Amino acid sequence: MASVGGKDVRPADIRGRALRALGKRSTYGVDVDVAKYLGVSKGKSTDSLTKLGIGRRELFSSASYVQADEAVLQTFVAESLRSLGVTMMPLHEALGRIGRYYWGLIDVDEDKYTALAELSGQGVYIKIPRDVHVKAPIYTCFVISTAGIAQPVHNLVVVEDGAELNLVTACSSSAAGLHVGVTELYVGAGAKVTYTMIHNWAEGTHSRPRTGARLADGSRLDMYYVNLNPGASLQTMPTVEIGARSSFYSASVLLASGSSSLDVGTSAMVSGEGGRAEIISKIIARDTSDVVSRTEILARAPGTRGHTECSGLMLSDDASIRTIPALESRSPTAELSHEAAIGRVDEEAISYLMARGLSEDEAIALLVRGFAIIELGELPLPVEKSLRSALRALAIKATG
Amino acid sequence: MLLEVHDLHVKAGGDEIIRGISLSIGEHETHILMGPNGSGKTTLLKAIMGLRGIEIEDGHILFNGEDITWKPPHVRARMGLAMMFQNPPRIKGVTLSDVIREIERRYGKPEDDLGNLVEISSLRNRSLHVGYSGGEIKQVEILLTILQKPRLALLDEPDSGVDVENLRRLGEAMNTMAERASLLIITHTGGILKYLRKVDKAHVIVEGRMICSGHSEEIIPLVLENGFDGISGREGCATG
Ligand SMILES: Nc1ncnc2c1ncn2[C@@H]1O[C@H](COP(=O)(O)OP(=O)(O)OP(=O)(O)O)[C@@H](O)[C@H]1O
Ligand SMILES: [Mg+2]
Repeated sequence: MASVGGKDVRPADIRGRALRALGKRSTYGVDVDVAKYLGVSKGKSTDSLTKLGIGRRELFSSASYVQADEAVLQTFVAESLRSLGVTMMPLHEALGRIGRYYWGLIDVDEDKYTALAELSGQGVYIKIPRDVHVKAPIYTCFVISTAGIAQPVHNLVVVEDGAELNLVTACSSSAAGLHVGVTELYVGAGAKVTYTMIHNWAEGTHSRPRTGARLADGSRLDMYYVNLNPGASLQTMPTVEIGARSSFYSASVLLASGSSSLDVGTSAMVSGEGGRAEIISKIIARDTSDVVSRTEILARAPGTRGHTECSGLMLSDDASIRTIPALESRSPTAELSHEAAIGRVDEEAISYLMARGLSEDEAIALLVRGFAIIELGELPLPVEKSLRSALRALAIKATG
Repeated sequence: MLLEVHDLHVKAGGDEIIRGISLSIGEHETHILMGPNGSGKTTLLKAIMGLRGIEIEDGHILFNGEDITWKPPHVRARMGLAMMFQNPPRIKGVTLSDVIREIERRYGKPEDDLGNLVEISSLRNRSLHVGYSGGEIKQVEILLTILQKPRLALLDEPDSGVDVENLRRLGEAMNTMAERASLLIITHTGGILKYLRKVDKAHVIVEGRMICSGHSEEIIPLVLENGFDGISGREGCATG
């Protein structure tokens, strides 16, 4: 684990490790030549965000951070939250106070993408102090608006014991670039966090989210991930460590289209007694897209429960989906299970709906929408709405 | 005639299941279809509705004078055919409300208050037919069929596995439908018959052939008392 001295200086050893890792390929996913994306640009247009249903009202309700290309367009924290000690600021300004958290969950030299995030020095720091409950969603938005640029960011989120956070990350682009989003998320004991990611990349974009989360005892993390357009390639494998009596729920719906190549998954390590993990993954593949979906639950403590469910829907003869579910137990009292299924739209259901008056295309559209439905836990209303509209948009894109 | 089936031959799963069946149904007529398990009753209804998974080998089907033999199911549905499924697919993620909305968008709101015909409020937000009880499936199927405002409703065993109270309600639903539509009803037990105001004809299928067609009041008691053996050739029995 990395540790950082008191000053707001980027620690030299971490920087050194990052520099040495700049050529290091990721284990999974297609390789991106990052050197091609090192132009500098300060984008301004955030138009692509509004397509995700995120406008002024959302951004100014509690707290928000908006970055376009490399420019931080906005860091806003409502006075009511500020007075409770809620912090949101560019990460580099917070370096002095985040010592043990900095690169605490992800290795800076894991691959060239993490290295790039460290070297760029951009991203946001969010802290919810002990026992503070922030119900209204906090938004972080990352937009690429200039073609050919890289947007490497490192975000660090600390939710202290007993606190509550509903975080929404919206990522979109109007031009092809490279997005690297490192997120380290610390969930304190008894804390409650929902983390919703809605992504919509332009054709040709490569994205490499790197997420690590740690759940202290008795806490809860619900993670939702909807990706309407993964661009040219996407590789991500969030890793979540789950403490005693804590629970982690992850639901993701991804639409792979065009010739995109996806390698996506979630890895949960249940390390505390009585911890729980549930990972639901839905993949829709059309055109000539190619998807690998990995889900993994490792049970390292007694009385833990884990379940993964991966379903793939093939909308084209030329697409491919591969699911790789893995379960590993080191405790006889752990209960782990997985389900996986890949198929096309059910012929019998199409036929049934046609007999009820729907054309074949209408029937397929309805069935795809049904496939994309995920169970939503307790969420602030605007987040639930954003998720539902993103899922609807995804289903329309899938069949349009 | 509203429906005319001429010498229909149908294959399913590679085997010939319907082996030359003819059938005519006039406007506002109610017909009963009986026959042993596996004799081809459901397959015949599927062929009339145009569902996938069965192949028409020979013969043709006219609806309202128009040849629909090769038309897709939704075209038939929009012409006024609807079917109550014996084994409808379970559709995860698509709720009953979703399907009702889709039907009402195409056929308009129902003319009658269907609230007391079928009790479905607790099912509205559940995935269609996923985990429904046998009786709930029947109620939902009859409701969706009514919402399509059919001119001819194909009802596949509306009375199997239904308690007396629901049977009475289903009977009322069918009577309501019969005011505007023709009905073709498959039944094994005849349980629904005592609730129906009017039944015109009955048909018996054995091994994919129509062995008997005639007046319902003559044929149905024969079948219910003696089974299917020896029906063929009896008085009042025409073969089709
Ligand atoms: N898709 C199929 N593949 C193979 N066999 C089929 C298929 N569809 C129907 N069959 C067979 O055709 C025969 C007639 O089936 P059908 O469902 O029409 O019978 P039914 O008269 O409705 O019987 P029941 O009273 O049991 O509902 C059965 O032997 C059935 O197994
Ligand atoms: Mg049948």
